[in-house]
Amino acid sequence: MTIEVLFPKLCNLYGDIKNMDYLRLCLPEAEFVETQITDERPRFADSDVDMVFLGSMSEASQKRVVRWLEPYRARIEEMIDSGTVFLATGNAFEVFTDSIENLTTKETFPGLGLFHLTTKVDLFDRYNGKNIGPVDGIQVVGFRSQFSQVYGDNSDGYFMACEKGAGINRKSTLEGVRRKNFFGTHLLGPLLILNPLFTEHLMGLMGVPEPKAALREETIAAYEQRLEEFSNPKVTFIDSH
Amino acid sequence: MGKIRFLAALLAAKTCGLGLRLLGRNASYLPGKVAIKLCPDFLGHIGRPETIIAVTGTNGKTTVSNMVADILTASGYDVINNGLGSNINAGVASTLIDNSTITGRAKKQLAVLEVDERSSLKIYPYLEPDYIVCTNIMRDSVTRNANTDFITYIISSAVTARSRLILNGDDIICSGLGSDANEKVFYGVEYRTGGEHQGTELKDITYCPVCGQELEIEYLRYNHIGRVHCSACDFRSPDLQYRITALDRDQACFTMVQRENTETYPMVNDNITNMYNTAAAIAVLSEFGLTPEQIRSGLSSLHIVSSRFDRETVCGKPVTMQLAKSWNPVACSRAFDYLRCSEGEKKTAIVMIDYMVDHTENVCWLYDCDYSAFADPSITRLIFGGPRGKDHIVRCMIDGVDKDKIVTTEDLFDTVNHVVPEDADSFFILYDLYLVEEAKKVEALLKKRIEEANQ
Repeated sequence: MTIEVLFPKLCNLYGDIKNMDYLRLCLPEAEFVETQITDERPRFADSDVDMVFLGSMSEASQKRVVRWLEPYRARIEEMIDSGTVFLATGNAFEVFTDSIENLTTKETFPGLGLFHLTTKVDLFDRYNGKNIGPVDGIQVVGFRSQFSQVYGDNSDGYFMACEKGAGINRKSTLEGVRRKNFFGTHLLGPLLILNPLFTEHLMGLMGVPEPKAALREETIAAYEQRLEEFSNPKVTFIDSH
Repeated sequence: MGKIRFLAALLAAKTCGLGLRLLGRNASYLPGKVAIKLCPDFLGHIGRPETIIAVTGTNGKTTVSNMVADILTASGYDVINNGLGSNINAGVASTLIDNSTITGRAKKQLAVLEVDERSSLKIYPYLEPDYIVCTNIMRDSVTRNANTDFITYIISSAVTARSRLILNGDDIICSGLGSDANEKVFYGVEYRTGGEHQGTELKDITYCPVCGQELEIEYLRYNHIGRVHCSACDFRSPDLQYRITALDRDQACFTMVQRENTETYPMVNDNITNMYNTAAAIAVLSEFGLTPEQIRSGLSSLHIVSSRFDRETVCGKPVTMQLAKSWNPVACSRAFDYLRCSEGEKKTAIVMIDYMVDHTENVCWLYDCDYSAFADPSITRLIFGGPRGKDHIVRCMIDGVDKDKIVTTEDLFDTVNHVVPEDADSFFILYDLYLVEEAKKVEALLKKRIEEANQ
């Protein structure tokens, strides 16, 4: 089993990259390939991988990531269609949208165009929030912190129908994007660690028989506490800073 | 019209400040907020002291601004500063309002202002500080500060050509602040401690800001603090005009090469982050015009304020209080590593961070922290107080910390009940900035427990 982690020295904000440390504990036999932004080619260009992970990056880095991945756009689309697991957390999934417009720096550049949505970044509007909702029948919880809002119709494929919290923008209730086993979500940080059942689901999609998350007892205890906290009606799910 | 609006805002703010003081309340924020609400460009009208030293940066700005203000005061200068108040635009405005006459003229002519990085655009274009000290730029609060590219953009967009920049030259992000129009002075710490921890801490910069290739590391102390160069182009860490070259713990002093001269100064605190803070203070004070003798004299009477660091010996065993600022992963990682590096073979630590009343805060920052320091065998007991105990256990285990040495309890004061004084040779309380009072109470309970065990 091969898991390709894209640009871990660049796309490692907000604790996202620790998901891969956790997955290493879950899948001790798996090969983890770290592809850096200064490398020539991704592993997935030349051979099949079982999962591709891309984590949060600065807004200034999004353009560099799009440019690097652009030559592999068709290959990524082929992998998505064939059922390869992708996980893009935080603003990483925005690089797969049609365009990214920075309202502060007045720069717009095309994304990879795999999801027909547009991203708008406003460096003076930090959006913070939380989400809870089902993903393939599993309750997923997580945190949001971003300068961006994504616009367009994602009703054909979304990560989560939010029970609480906003979707791809403040007015949406459908969070993230989904196409086959491509999971793109604004939820950031230790998503897999906070959601061990979702982690086991991803492991199953990768072909792991009877998947079992690492540190299961401890992560389930923390997950159950958070589920309870998120059910508290006093908890706010949409904040701005 | 602008002048009338300013005077009306000033009058309202002064009245507000007077009212707050009569009520025995702190007037370090609200008067400025009122003034800016009534007159958005208030800071552009208020009387500007002849010299303004601004201190900013992710970590250390409070310590450095306090040091600078204290040494200047000890040297006979009449200084205003916002050391006891807010460091955003309203706090800075409140400080300047306090210092102004009824017509808005400045009374004192030297200001040392701590400035929140995110507030740069609301402060620097108006005040154009003569000196801006930046201690470092690192990942900080996920929800407020986002990332270092954002903070760098904000500060550099706000700085005007008038400001001379005093920058940490061992921080390649910080040293790139400003533009070619700014005169820059770089400081740093040259001596090696030999104990740099290679943990799981992330670096905020890996690639050359000029050509994008991976930087070559000459050495790193922590995070991205250290010296680097690019092999693909001629980019490198800047030469240091102020550099601490040697530390003598026995004599409690250090050597600094500053421009062409070599000076010896008394050591305030041997923590490496405080050595950087001290270097920053010396650099800006020297550029301002203080003599080495004045700085030496000022440093000799300083200590890090006890809300941040304190150590006592109880029944022959050291008890250390160390601030570990929540939501600030690098500051917390430094505090954790200080615990690892401290003397002792059987350390017990009470950790009180990440304490929020609504129990649902964003815990992403815990995963930017380096918990691997806790795996050190010299740390034999870790007691986490607060609601996030289950998260701390998971976080610790992912970095290889033995679960058997971890205890969690929601009640901060109950942490002490899990201390076994006989099994420890040193004690640490790592606490959040918002838990200073609680930490003092825990400290008192801990001392009592140690004393009782010693009877």
